Amino acid sequence: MTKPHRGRIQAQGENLEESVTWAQDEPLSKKDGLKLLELLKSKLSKKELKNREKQFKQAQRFIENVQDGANAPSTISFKNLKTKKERIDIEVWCGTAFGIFLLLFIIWYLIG
Amino acid sequence: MGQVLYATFLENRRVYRLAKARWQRLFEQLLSAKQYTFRPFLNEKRMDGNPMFTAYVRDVDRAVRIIQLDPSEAVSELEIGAWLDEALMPEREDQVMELVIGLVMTKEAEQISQLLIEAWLLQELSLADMEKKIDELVVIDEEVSGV
Repeated sequence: MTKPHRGRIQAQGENLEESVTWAQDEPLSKKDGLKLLELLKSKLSKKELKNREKQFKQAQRFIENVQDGANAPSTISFKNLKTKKERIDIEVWCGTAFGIFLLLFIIWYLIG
Repeated sequence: MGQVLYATFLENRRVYRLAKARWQRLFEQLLSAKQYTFRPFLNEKRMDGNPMFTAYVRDVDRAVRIIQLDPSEAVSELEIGAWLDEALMPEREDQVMELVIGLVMTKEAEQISQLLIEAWLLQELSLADMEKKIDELVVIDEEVSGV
């Protein structure tokens, strides 16, 4: 059965197309989003990483700071404007990602 | 850099809405000549400019995504980039192509964007010709970046 929360983080470039995906029953947390970003980094060579250094930082900052999460359908792109193709794309295909769901659940649980 | 339009769009929600309305007007003006209609195709509720505006034009089965960048992060006189990608449209099984434009909003960047949008939606350039048009209008200095 298709999972309700799905998406992909992708590193694009002239000779590169690496990605990591998620598909799960609960929204992707910020923590797991950051882990996926690190996993994507680990798939790139030093040079490929260097060409996207700023874009990875921007993607990290986005995941850390986005309020209320990113709801589908969403594509968030961080492109190196000084190069032709180098960029990082975050795609939320279904559901929600990067919210503070656990914290809200704990507050709801404590109040309840 | 030329004067940045809506420079405080990330801090001020009113300014953000004005910036978005400018793109809405631009699309209405451009597409009215051919009586094309458009609709957003991505979630635009976040107010971070990424994306600022999206339009799917059914008449040509193509899309455009505008990313408005933080002017404080600009590193050059004219900050604009453009590329073609597959649009994220989960309801569609086939591929819809999108023109993506990322820019710091200045008059010059807006004019280049307009030319790109016209070429993509009104002239309906092929993918190869659109890549050439992007190369022609958006100058990349890869020497500077060290790539």
